[in-house]
Amino acid sequence: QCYRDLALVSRDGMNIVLSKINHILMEKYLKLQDTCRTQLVWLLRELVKSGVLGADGVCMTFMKQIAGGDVTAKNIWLAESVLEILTEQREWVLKSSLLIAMAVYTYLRLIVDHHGTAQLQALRQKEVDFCISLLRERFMDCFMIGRDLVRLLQNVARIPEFEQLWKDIIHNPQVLSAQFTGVLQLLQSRTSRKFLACRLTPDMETKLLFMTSRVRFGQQKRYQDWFQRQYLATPDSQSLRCDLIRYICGVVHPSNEVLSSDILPRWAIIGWLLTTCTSNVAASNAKLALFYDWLFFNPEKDSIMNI
Amino acid sequence: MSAASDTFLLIRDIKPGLKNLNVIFIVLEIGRVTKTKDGHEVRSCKVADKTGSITISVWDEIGGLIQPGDIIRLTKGYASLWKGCLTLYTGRGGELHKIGEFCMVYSEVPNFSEPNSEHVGQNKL
Repeated sequence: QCYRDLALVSRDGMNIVLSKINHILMEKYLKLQDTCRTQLVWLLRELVKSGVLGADGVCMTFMKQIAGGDVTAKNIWLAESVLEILTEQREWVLKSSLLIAMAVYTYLRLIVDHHGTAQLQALRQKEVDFCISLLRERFMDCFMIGRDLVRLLQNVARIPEFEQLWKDIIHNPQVLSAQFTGVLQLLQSRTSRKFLACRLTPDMETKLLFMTSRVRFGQQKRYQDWFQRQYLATPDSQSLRCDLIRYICGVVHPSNEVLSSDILPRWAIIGWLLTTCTSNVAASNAKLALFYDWLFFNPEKDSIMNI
Repeated sequence: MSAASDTFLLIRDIKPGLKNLNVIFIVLEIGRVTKTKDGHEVRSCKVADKTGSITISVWDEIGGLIQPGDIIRLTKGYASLWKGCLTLYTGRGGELHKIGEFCMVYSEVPNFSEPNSEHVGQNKL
């Protein structure tokens, strides 16, 4: 009822509502109570159903709140709820290339975390079906992700549907799209910062950015301990290290001023992330994540700050 | 002596006997709980700002709620000597209010709560 009134009264295409929602999500999501979160998801669904321009942006902001390496009930609930909207409103999703790419990047990454219990396994299957269908139907939109798409696909390559997809990628790329010439084409394409950043929640970004811009080298121990205690304390959370490392390589590019100061250097943070990893698989994925841009560096298209 | 009620004091400027203190600090460590004779729980916490660190004694539930990394604003606190060490307290009418977490630069040294020969002979609790 309220929504209908809101829609009738709005004269700016709901812009104020959208920016308010984005603001709440980015700044306050962690503090919201469950009922509020449920309401927000409901609101998102209504916005999507009405085809409000900008609802895809809110969708992406929502996806950003799904924390990697976190299989607690609330986080899983969010992953499920957003996926439900995306699956239900598929036609709408297909209208936005960026949303397709972001959704695939998000859920391909989350698949890695969802295993072990029946509930997680069920969620994983939905995520697999969702990603596979977008990858096969709109490959070139997903191509936009760039080389990190290969990294993500490698991490799920043992799942049968992806195993099949890999066979096509390697042996028969044209099946996916006439414009797709093969893996090399994808590896040569740099992944935009917006994808690398989308897998960190606003709070993770705030803290990492604080560490790389304000904390002096030698003073970082407590901050590292606090960050670790909050986000990297469980066995499931080790997968987050890859996302953090990709973020530091690709998004955090300190100015010359910061580089020449005694502020905590990027290599020190990465060293910390690698040496405190408690899972071998995650560690080797993380090391690969570190070298990804270096392996395919092209001086004309890539930034030296990525390596 | 009391400090102006709407300005914030830096930890290095805290001296025994000051009252009505407003300080902003980040929590570095929460100490073990001890029980007082009248049944209260007390924790000694190490907190810091950019000028140094100090110990604050926190009573009862609040002590159980604060976490390392919390950025807290103390209002109407006071400072005193406890066993020769400068210590910060909330006191009656004082308040601890969490205003953020993580994003505050601090210096752990000097630790102003270390036993200090200057304080020997002054009023002790």
